Amino acid sequence: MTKFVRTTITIPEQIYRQSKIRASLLKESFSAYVTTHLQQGLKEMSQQKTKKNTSPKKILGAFSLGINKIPSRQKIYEKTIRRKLGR
Amino acid sequence: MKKQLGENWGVDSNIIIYALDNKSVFFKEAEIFFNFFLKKHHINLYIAHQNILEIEKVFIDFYKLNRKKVVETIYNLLEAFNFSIISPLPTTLSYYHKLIQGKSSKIDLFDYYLAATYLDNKINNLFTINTKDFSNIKELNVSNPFKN
Repeated sequence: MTKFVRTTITIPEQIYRQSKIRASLLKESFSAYVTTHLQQGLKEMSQQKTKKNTSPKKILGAFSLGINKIPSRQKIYEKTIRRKLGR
Repeated sequence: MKKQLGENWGVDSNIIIYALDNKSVFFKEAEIFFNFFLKKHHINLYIAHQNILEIEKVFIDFYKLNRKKVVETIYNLLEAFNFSIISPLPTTLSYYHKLIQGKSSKIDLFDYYLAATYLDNKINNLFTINTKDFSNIKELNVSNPFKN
């Protein structure tokens, strides 16, 4: 059995008015209307999350650059330090 | 890699960079390395903040890739292979100063600060291609996984 809670939220007046009108057109209570839309939003979010979860094997080799040699750590930082020191 | 099972290992930037570039000289080796961890979940992989910055620097600054795409790809990789992200601790600076004590002035300070970050976080093992860079830090056990 679904357990219900009573809560107070603050939303823009325009959204409140439009939602009230739509709920009444659908002959639904305002609570039922809000619940349906919250459910939909949650479902979409979880679908997006699943979609984003790429397989580990697909993440490897995501770029095609042909890197042969990586600069040393010192070289990586040196450029920034030189610029900061104005050299 | 048998003797390394069940241990905590840091992963250096170079390994991640080669693994993300499918045309890199070490892509095949990097692929084998990471596929090994898909099967052996009891090995804990770690990466330091500095490594993430270095990877971003190489792809964004040197290879002019899109920043958003690079950041997203790095996060995807770290998530897919269950990396834990570590950062320097308030004590890391003094650890680093102890590490460089008595060392030649020619050493790469950034390598030592990275080593201090891992060691201060109780991670005594590091996978890197440049094992030579850390050879004078006896507290850190380094291994080149592409040679095994």
